[in-house]
Amino acid sequence: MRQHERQDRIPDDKLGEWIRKLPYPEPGPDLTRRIMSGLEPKKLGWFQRLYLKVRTPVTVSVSPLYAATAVLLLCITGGVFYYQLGGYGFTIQNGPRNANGVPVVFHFKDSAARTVALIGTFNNWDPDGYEMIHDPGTGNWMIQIRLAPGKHDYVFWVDGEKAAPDPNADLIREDDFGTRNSVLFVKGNHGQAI
Amino acid sequence: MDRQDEKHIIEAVLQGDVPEYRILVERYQRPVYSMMLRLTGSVMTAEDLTQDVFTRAYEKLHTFKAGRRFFPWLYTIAVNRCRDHLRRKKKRQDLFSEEPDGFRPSAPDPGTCANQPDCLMEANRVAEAMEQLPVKYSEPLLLYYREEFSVKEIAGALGISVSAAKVRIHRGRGLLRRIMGVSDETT
Repeated sequence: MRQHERQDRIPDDKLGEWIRKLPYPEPGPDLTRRIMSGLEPKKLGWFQRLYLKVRTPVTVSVSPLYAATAVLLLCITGGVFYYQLGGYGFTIQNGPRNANGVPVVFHFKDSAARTVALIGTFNNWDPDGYEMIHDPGTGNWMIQIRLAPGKHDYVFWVDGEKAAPDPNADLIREDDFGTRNSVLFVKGNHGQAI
Repeated sequence: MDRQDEKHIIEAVLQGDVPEYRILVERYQRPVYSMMLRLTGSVMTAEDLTQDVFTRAYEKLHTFKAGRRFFPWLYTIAVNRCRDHLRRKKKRQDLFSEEPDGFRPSAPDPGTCANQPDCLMEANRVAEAMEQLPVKYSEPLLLYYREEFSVKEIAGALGISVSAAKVRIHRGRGLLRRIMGVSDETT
């Protein structure tokens, strides 16, 4: 009987239990200190500080008149915040992109997507500041960026949770985590449309 | 530590209370370091990358959406950092033909199987088999069972669809059994 045909099958829950018990390797005792020593206190703008303040729960005793005024003020402030922040959480744009690179326009079609961003080796796979613009008429998403000549891996980051490779990419290759990334070769100084 | 505690910690950090961040570092540095070590095989590189991940998370903390779990968000940053490192390393290896670092086997803790030789033997088999499993299957299994991520959280952290995450967990279990030399009735 071949070894893998033995009948001592391990059930899923038992297998899971063993995986759960796998030990973590211990990092050096100095790692926490190293991490913490490199951090500077956050310097938030007045807008972000105010936002955090209104998000922090407080206990108060109020008269009906005070409560009505407070509710009105909160509604106005909340409306302004919601409009400014586009919903829950902050959206802060990254600094200016590489102004010396080759202009490249990326297109992606997904009419069901709520948000699409472009992530790749050129922005450390960080979607902040690389949100694509949606054309509801065609279902197309578009962004123009400048890239240095060379090879760039990228994917479209759909709804903040799913990576979609570009069906029109020059090449698609799988990385170590099994994600299929598109590969773009940027040549010379002429613009490209993807 | 529940979401509510983490929410308060994050709010305190955002308001300038840096020492509060230590709670999150101490809580999550081992799983992040563990992933880095599995994928790079180098203690020094794994520590540098872990430090980098926590620094990046700190810098981006204002983008963290309250109500979600902090760890899957942090893990996504870690995966992206590791992915970037491995890509650069491959490029260097292509140029200089370096030998890749070796993986470090993680032996199970004997304390989990006190006075049970069969138990320890089985735990050793799982640990060895996990070392041989391709990363695309071992990561989803570790995230699902050890870190207790939901399938949706795994999909988000690894940048794959929910169905792909389910398939990888299922196939990962099957491959693990095959490597261990036991039958897999699901295949």
